[in-house]
Formats: sequence, C-alpha cells, structure tokens
Amino acid sequence: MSLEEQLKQLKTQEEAPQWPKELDASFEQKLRVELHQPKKRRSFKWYYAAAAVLVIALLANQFWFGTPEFKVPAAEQQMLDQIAQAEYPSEQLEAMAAYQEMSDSKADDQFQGVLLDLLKNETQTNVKIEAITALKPFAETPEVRQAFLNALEQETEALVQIKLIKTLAELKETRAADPLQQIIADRNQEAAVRNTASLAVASFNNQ
Amino acid sequence: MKKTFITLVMLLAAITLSAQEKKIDFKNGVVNICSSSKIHISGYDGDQVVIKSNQPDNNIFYSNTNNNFAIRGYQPGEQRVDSVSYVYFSRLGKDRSEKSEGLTPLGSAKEDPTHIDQAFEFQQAGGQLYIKDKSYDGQNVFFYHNATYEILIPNSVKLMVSSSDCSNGNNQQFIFSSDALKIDDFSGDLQVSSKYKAVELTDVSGPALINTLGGDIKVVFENEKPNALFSIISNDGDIDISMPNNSKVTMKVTGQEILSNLDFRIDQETNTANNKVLDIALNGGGKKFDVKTEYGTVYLRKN
Repeated sequence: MSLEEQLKQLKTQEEAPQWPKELDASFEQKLRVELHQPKKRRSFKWYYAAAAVLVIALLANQFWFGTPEFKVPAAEQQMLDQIAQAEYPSEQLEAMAAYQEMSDSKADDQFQGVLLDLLKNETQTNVKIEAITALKPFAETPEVRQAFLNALEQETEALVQIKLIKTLAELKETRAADPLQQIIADRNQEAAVRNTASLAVASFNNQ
Repeated sequence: MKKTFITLVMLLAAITLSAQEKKIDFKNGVVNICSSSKIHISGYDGDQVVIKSNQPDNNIFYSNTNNNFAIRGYQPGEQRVDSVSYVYFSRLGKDRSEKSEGLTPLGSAKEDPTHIDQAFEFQQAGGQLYIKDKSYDGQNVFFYHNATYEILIPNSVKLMVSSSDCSNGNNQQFIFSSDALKIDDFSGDLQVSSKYKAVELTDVSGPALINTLGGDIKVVFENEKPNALFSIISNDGDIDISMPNNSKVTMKVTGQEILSNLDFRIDQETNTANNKVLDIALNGGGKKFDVKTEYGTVYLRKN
C-alpha cells in the first residue's frame, strides 16, 4: 500500500477510540514514577569531611594567629621561660643577662612580652628597673609606651617611679604630663620622685 | 594614747636589760628583716637565726600617729625632739643593777619578754621568717637606743633586708641614725632595699641585689672574690666597690663619674646628658656586676 492509499484509508476510517478518562490518574502516577526515578544514593565519604575540617582549621589558624612567626631557638626559649618562671629575682636577672648576650635579636616579641609581664607583676626593684631598661628599645611600640604609662600610675616604689619618669621624659611621651602633675601634687610621694617629675614636666613644656 | 605609753614605760621598766639573745630554728627558706634599727648581720654555717642585743643605755619610744618626724642620731640627753609629740626618756636599768647587787630572785623565775621581743615581732609561716620592727595597737612604735642588734643568719637561707618595712611602697620614713646597715660573710642569696640608710657589705659572695634611694652602698671583697651576680642601684648615693686585683668580673657601670685604680678593659663607653655608661671587664671578664647611680659617683678600688 502506497503512502497515499494509507492516508485515504485513515480519513475514511471511523473515529479512533478515546483513552478512558478514569485511567488518567493512574497514567499520571505511573508517568511521575517513570520521570522522577531516584538516583542511586551516594555513600558518605568521611575523609572528605576530615579534609574539609583540616582545611578550615588551617585557614582559621592563619586568621586568628596570623602567619607563623620565627621560632625562638630552644636555648633562647629556655632563657625566656627562666626569666618568666624563676623563683628568685637574682635568677631572673641572670637569665635576662644571659638571654641578651645569647640572642641576636634583642627586640623579639617573646622577649618584649616577658619584660612587660615583669613590669606589671614583678615586685623586686632591681628586676623592674632592668626590665624598663630592656624595654626601652621597644619604645616605639604603642603597647610598650602604654605599659610605661600604666606602670607610672600604679607604681609605688620610689626608685622604679624615678626610672619610669626619666624614661617617659626621654621618650617625650607627653601623655605622662597629667599623672606626673598628680605625683608632684602628692605630698606623700618621696621628694626625689616629685623632683624628678617636676623636671620631666618642665622638659615637656620646653619641647 | 598617753596610757599606751605609760603602759609601755612600765612594761619596759620591769625588764632587766642586759645582753640578750634569741634563737629561732630556721635553715631553709627566706628570712625577711624589716627594721630601721642598727643592725649588723653575719652569715654563718648554722641552722638557727640568732639575734643578739647589747645593753641599751637609753630608750626613746614614740608613736607616729598624726606626726611626721624624724630623729637623726640625736643622743637622748640632748632632748632635741623637733615636732615629736610624745617622747619618753628613760634610763632603764641604771639603778636596778646597783640595787640588786648581791641579791638573787626568790621563787621560780618568771618568763619575761626580752628586750629583743620588745623591739621586734617575729612571724614564721610557709618557709618565710619575718623579723619586723614592733608595732603596738596598730601604731608603729619605734625605739631609739644605743643598742646594736647582731643577727646571725644561716648561709643556707635567702635573705631579704629592708630598712623600712616589708611592704612594697611609699610609707612615712623614719630615720633613726645614719649608721649603715652592715652585712658580713653571707654566702646565700641576698636582697637589700634601703631608702636613706647606707648599706655596707663585706665578703658577701652573692648573688646580691641592692638598692637605695639616697644611701651610699659599699661592697668590700676582703677574703672572698665575687662569685655571682651583683645588681647595685642607687639614685643619689655613691657606690664604692673594693675587690682583689685578680678578680674576674664583667661590669656595666652608670654614674656621674666612674673612678678606679683597677686595670679594667673598656669595651664600650657612652656619655648621656647626665651620666657616663661603661661596659668594662677585669681579667677577661667573669661574674656580672650591674652598677647604677644616677647622681652619685662609682668607685672601683683595688684592695
């Protein structure tokens, strides 16, 4: 049968039977199942999670602690620990002197931190004075200047007060002017402390 | 307050004043002496702290309440008591020895506080022994007399001496005499803090941390050589160090002037606006000395 004849036959044929409406719902359901066949479930890979945690931890370490710093050699670290933990002031002074001799960089952050702790917490006068002397090379650091100012307001030992006042005057730290005026006005302070404070304020005024 | 002093006078009058001695077992730990009395400390190889007092001829005792005052070496008989409200002179013991001559006490001996107990209070706790000027009724009551206290300290302890009090900070300063605080033959760890009283160390081997506000500091090595670190700091005082010519020391010295007859090698010299700073070494260097005086002179002598 030629194609033309087939076409004629189709036209003359009775209307084709309709799909029963009651079967629509069933068909759609089957079609939906066919079209949204679930994919095969992936198995959980624990090592991916571990790797992710590791990467996050490394990034966080960088974020919180900055880039890794130069590690202090073991011998020098031992000296720093000794300064911080020595039971007696003479041992602290010996360790400070040894560290300064041994260390090439006398201005590292760890040393500065140990010295600031001494300035804040140590009570022996000689150790405090040595700590102030050793901190002077760090004086451009705002933290060190602020520590000097804080110590000036809190210190009660006359020799240490004098050392702080002279250091702040040499650094031309004019923020010390107010606490110095208070020292000058305080008649309970040692005369030598008040005199040194007066000279420091005069030096600020002459700047 | 008068009652307090009358009580004290009566109490002291009841005490037989003679050479006295107090011994405290203590061979490990820290001995803290906080006193403005005349003190001569010696180190020894023992296991007791021993305090000796000679017989005081005269006593002055007074309170500091609401008074700022000082007595600088006045003899009691002079009665120079500028701005002191309550000063009592007592020639305690003068007649008692004469009156009691040839007599012995009847009955059992009563336990009297010694003169040393009247002058000092003793506290011992946690490896620390404190020997302080006595205070009564919350007031500081000071004694001035001709007594010199000799204190023997075991070389095995660490010794901290303050010519004022044991607290850190400013306090009203009472000056009783210009006599130096003397420490001899001590080989333990030593710290001395004084405001205006001079400090003299003889054959103290170190380590020693000494500081004064105005007092001179003298360190003499007669039979010993420097054996450990010395940190010596003063604001106004002179610092005078004598040592054998063959001592091996490395020094950082700061002073208005630095004088010596020892053959030091000068490693570094810096002149600041007020001071000279020298890094020096003797016989190639050795034990460390940090010597600083802002307004004083440093003397480094051969002996």
